Amino acid sequence: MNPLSQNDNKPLFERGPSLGTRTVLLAVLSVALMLLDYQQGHLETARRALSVAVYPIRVLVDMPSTTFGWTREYLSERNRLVAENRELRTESLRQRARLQQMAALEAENERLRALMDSPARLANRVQVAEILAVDLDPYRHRIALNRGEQAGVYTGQALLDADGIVGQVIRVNPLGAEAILISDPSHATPVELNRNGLRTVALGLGDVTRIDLPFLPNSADIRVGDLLVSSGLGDAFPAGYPVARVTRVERRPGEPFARVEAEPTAALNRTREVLLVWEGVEAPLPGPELTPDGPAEASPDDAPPAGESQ
Amino acid sequence: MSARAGHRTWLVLLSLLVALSLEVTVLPAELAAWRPPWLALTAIYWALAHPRRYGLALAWIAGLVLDVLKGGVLGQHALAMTVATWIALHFHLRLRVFPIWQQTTAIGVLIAIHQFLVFWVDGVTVGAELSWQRATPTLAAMIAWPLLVVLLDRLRMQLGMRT
Repeated sequence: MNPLSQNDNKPLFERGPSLGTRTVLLAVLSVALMLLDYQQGHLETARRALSVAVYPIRVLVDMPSTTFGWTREYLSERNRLVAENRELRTESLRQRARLQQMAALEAENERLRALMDSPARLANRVQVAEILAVDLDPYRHRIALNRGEQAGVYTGQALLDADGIVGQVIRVNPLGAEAILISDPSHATPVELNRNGLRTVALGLGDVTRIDLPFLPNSADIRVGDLLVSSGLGDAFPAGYPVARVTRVERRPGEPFARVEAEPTAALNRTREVLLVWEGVEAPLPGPELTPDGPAEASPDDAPPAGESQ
Repeated sequence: MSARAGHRTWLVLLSLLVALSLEVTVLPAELAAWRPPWLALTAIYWALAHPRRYGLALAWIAGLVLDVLKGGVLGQHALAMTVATWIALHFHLRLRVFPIWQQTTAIGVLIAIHQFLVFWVDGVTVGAELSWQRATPTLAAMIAWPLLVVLLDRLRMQLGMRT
């Protein structure tokens, strides 16, 4: 740091408000902003305007990893690419074979639903969005996406990857969006057990490898290895997508609830692409009769009230 | 004079932009807690270098942009950076003549206050818990500060800016 010189010396007479006054003013302004933003969420227009200005920075920061990906693709060997291509072809064939069955099953499902007079399930539209390689905040599990209003993204929209639910959109800008992961400590996912339809809520722990199921009684029918799927309650996520697999069940006789933990099936910190889901427009309120497995009565009586229980 | 002043503003804005990018650049998971608060350090540097030109207002606006960039509560970093810059401005006559190690210690204290304010707002809004990881940015800032000073001092010298 250079030693001082003339023009930075304090003038004999201060002009304008003093340093302390200006600090207090700006601090009060900051606190007012926080109150308005956090408690009422009044500042969405201001945030949108600023976020458009900030979006180039996110893209700029994302650029090295994107370029790295391109270069690696460009320079990778022919043999490897051919092998990968063959593998993908086989995979695609296998999937298509399964899809053929799926079409028949879907038709059968529709017929059965018509027989039972229950509303039909509507297909969901999906679109791929890319996660920008940007670290938003180490203490919150948030991600930045490269699709925004111009792609029709809306607040509350569900995000999936190949293996399950990733999170949901919390903020949409004209060019991009921000999403919260299911592992964020402030996020709760309404889930049900795929095996018996037992409904509960899965809370994030701030750790991408585990989520917590705090509201299951000791007598609940749950085992390690059980698959949790989204229940569709709370209207946040479409029903029937995998969320997590139970990794730990500890029944504690002295406590009202068992300690249950699960591992998200989606690769929360490893994917680069996610799927944005648009649910069918006329989608009926998802109820227990829409569960993919088992009838509505499968939910045992000792299940805690779902969704709103916290 | 005006050309030189233009130069200055250009360099200041560029350095703040680079600092903003560094704030969100992806780090390996083990190093994520060791990210120095680049933007606060840069704002403090300019406040010490040109205290009558770049002060509170610049720090506040930069903090607000950082809030939007990180997707946090609006005003969180703006508040923390205003307070840190205010302390830097209040003691700038002393801080500027300190030897570098002493200056670094003082900056460490400043950044500790900055980090505490950020943590406080986190605690009120999303419920954060205190862990040793909250102290690492302060240590990282004390490592980063001498580097930042050397780099920006040299840039200013080369562009012919004198305080």
